[in-house]
Amino acid sequence: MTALLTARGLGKAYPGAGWGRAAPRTVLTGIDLSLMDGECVALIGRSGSGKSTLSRLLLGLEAPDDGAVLFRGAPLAGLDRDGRKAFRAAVQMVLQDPLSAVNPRHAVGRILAEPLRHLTDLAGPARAARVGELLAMVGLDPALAGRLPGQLSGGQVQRVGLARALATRPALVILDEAVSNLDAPRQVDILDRLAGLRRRHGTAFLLITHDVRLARRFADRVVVLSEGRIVDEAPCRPGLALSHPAARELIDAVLPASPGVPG
Amino acid sequence: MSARILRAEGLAVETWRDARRGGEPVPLVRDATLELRAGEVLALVGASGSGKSLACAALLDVLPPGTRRRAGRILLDGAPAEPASLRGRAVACVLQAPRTAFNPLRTIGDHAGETLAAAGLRGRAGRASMERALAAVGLGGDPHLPELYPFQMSGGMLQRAMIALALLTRAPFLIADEPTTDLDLVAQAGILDLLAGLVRERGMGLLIVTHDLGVVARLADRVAVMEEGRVVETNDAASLFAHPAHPATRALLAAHHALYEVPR
Repeated sequence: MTALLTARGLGKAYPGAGWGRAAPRTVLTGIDLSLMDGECVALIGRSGSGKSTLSRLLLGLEAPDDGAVLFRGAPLAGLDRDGRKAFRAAVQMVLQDPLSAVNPRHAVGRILAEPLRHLTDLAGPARAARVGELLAMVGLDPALAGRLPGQLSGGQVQRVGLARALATRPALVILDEAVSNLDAPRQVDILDRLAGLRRRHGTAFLLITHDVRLARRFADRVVVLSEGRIVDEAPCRPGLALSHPAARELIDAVLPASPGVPG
Repeated sequence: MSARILRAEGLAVETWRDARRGGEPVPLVRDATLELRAGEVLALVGASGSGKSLACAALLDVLPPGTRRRAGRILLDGAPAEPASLRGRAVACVLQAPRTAFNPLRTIGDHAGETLAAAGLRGRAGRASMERALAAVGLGGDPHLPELYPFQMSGGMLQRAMIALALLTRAPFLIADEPTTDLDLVAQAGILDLLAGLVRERGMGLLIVTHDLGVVARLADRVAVMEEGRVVETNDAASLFAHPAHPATRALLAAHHALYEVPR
């Protein structure tokens, strides 16, 4: 079976900062990762480990210096116009900061209709119906379609971002710290909704986070990124067994569930 | 002798709707009472929008525009005190997003100089005091650290630097509003260890605002729970986790424990 999305030997470096000719800074080295249809993978790592750069490469927002990203076996760089359109409809993303990910001057309905207009063949009335359906899917009142993002709470805007990512019925949604900044009731609510979508539609997810609790609760498999390399990898069930020091550091940093109980 | 008890009594904060028609008041914090004791960590928890940060802002008299304090008083060891006179003297602050709390055009040393000048410390005594504060927060290893600009430091380092600035004021009480929300968990664990150490070794009173009950479990002696602007439950941390009384507390705990569960 061909993987949905594959990273093969990805490497990425950014030019050095400053006025002098500083050496380029290597952000990712030799990343091999495969995501299957319907699979849920958590990518964990500390700040600066290269998680977000990897997600940008997987989405085709940036080109790797080494290696390639393959969508259903075909390299992203070689896709033609229709291939790119199909890729964008199939792979969507939700970002960490919801308010900066939407146009503050567009009503929620327009924000959700945008991917439908560009990436699907739906006609006007069908798009409006789909917008209502999407809002209901993430637990928002369809009447919110007329509101501006600034009139909603942060948690509601995050759900709008999620609804937009789901608009094209993607095969994979990449969540880049998309639930990290919410409070616990909202984190649990969104993760449960995503798990429901996965059961009903077979959507695959790549959850990028530094919080082992979220990874353990949501994913089938955890991949650990440290200093631009994949250093460890393990299934979440029956128990998450990671041994690399960078992984242990993340696991040890999990806060205790109750006072006096080690995490 | 430094103060032992900081008490905010009956705090009420409101905003107003439609200023043209006389401004109908909308209460945001209602009759909130918080008591912070030296040598103790009080956690203020609640869902987003429950009024945690506004209650702290009212305590410090730094309410954002569009809100005002309608009632309440601040007592320092039982004596009424003006919030403005407490700031930087009896109460120091650590804010949520360290990157936006620093002036990007000023070095850490410049920031420290400003705080020291306010505390009346200059020259060699000031430098010595800055070195001690930076060492206390784990930034003592690099002698060039005061020359760094905020963009040259990680979020965890900046948060440590902000705590060092708070220590420079030598205030007995510290208010930390979501001090670790923007940090990864490893950096968060380091900052929480640091705060716990300061309370233990210096006998500071720490009020920590958080939405993460894991932070509470790690650090807090007592917990106050807010919902819709009211403090609905106050208890010591162990009892609150074992026997939550108010529905808001139970809801927060249920979601918190769900985060630790692995389904199936």
